[in-house]
Amino acid sequence: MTILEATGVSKYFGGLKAVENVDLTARPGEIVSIIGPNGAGKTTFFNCLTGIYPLTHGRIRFKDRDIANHKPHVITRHGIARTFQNVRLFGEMTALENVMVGAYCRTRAGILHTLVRTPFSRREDGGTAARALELLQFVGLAGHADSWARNLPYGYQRRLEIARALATQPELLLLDEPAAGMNPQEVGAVTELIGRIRDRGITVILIEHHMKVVTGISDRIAVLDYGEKIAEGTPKEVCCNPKVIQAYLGKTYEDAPAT
Amino acid sequence: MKRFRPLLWLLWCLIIAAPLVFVGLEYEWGKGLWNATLRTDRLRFLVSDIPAWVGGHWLDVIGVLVFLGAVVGFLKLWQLTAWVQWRGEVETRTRGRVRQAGAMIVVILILTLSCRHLADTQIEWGVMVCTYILLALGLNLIVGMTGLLVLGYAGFVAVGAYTFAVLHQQFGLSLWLAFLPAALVGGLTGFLLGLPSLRLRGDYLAIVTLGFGETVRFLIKNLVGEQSIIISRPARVPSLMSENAAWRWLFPDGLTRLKTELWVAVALVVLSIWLIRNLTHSRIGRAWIAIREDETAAAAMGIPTVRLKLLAFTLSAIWAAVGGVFFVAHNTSANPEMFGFGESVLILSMVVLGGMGSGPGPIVGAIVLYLLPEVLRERFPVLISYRPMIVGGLMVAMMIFRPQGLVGSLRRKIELKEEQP
Repeated sequence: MTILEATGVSKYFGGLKAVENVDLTARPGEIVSIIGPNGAGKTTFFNCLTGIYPLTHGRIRFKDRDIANHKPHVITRHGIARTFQNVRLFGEMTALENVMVGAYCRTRAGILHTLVRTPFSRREDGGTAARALELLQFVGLAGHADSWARNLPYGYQRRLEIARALATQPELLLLDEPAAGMNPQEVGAVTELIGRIRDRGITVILIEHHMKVVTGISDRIAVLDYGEKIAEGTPKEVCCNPKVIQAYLGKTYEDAPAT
Repeated sequence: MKRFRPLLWLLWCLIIAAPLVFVGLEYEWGKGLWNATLRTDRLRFLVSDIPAWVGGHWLDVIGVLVFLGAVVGFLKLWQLTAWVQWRGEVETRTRGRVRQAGAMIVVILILTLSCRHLADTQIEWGVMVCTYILLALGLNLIVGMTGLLVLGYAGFVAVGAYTFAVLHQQFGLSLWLAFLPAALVGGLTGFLLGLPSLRLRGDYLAIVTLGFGETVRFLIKNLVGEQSIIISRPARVPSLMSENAAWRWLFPDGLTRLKTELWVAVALVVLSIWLIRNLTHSRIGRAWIAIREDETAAAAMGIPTVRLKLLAFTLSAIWAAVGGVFFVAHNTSANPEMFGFGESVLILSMVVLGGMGSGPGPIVGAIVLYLLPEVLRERFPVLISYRPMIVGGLMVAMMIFRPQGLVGSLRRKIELKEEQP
């Protein structure tokens, strides 16, 4: 039983093999982490999953449906949502509006309905606002619904991005370094938040450098290096894997080839 | 150093502008020489024209200032209610809506009561201002809200205008029946132009639309001809109410063509404001703003960006077409030269001057940029030759002191100021 099944995903930029032949599966309700040194191709892999980059080759199946090379908004409607490594909120909108934008693909009022603001569109809009408030509460931003997104502190912006992604009602959530640049307290809060998202029945795939977050909540970890998957397994297995240690810390002096 | 910066700018102006203004170059064919003369007589505008004008018309000057202040103040108050910002709480929203409706009613009441006393020129101004408000509102949909720079808006205006003009010439179609076909043709043009070009971003789109605006003009010249199409319309509109006493008080000399036009124009503007307000606060309006803020993130949040940009383009073209119909109907003639690049720039300036992306911004922009030259022409004919200088100076001053536009939101100001180190 898998919800996401990526096989042989490759993305080349000209001669550069950013992602090469990566397999990854996720089971419903699981938290899978992707780790790896900078430039290992983790974010590129996310961009392939969400349709921002077309695949060079490979297959991606989501809920037994082939979604490789679909348009980003189609993939989001199928139930995959994401956040970005460098926060990409809609700065000139309030926090609430940001979350409401996420609900676009789950609402239906067309142009004629919205032009004359029919009772249908009004009711739908009210529902969207209520759900968005609920999500803001869920990520702990209830008091900031009316603040401009660009004025929020950095940590709040990250949470707001998660709320916005959740508003698309995903079954699979891709988080790109949700704890980047946070202090230990905030890191703890984000870890707890990810746990609560999983408890809602949402599968989470996580890119993260904070090993405390990764080992704390992941069911499985995949390690990328130079675009290839070099290891996969439970946190314990991966941490002891010599290949992983080598990728992060380099070879020991004795192992190095003589020069 | 910073304290002397204005002086430095003055120096810069002297170095750049003074030779242009005060040196007269003439080519003497007989001698085959360039002849340079110092044209101190051009100082006239400083030493005699403007002082004479201010001295002779100081009441008018104060009047214009008070009028501009009143317009900006009124719309500022309106904006403070709930136009630009959508507050989550239902309470403030309803209150805002009540206040806006109140503001509308006041405007309509003032118009109704003053209609009796308005001179024909003033009614003419009113009609033209309303036309430009329509056009600016339509352009704001795409430039301000969706963030796509369109430089050929007059092309869409021309499509609507000529749909009406040709139908009128061929079949004698009246103004009232022309709105629907013009809107259809305009919307279709916008849709068809948007299909290929909306895959472009930023500057590239601007260039495509710039080309489109010029193409339409030349297409019309080739298809319809360079001569004007005359649109004949009755000078008086028969009315069922003409025996009514109140009606007779309001319209002592019957319902003239100009007065009907003014009322239709006001109705169209009010309708547009309502429709656009609804759009702004709907899922579609939010999606447009999201595309403006970050197109990639918007797509990743499930927004079909191309489809929504196409929608904005089409709607904007429909507004242009309706405005165009009104434009030529009021003008009673249509000529391709009426829809040149200058017209596109004028409408874009209205949007920028008033405040891109804000609700009342384009309205203020249209009022100021249309009425200012007209008032100048009417009241201070001396100054009309300085019109480009005044408008240009106004735009430069705006970009320095209020880059967000007259009634633009504060957030845009912050954003624009941030970009300067």
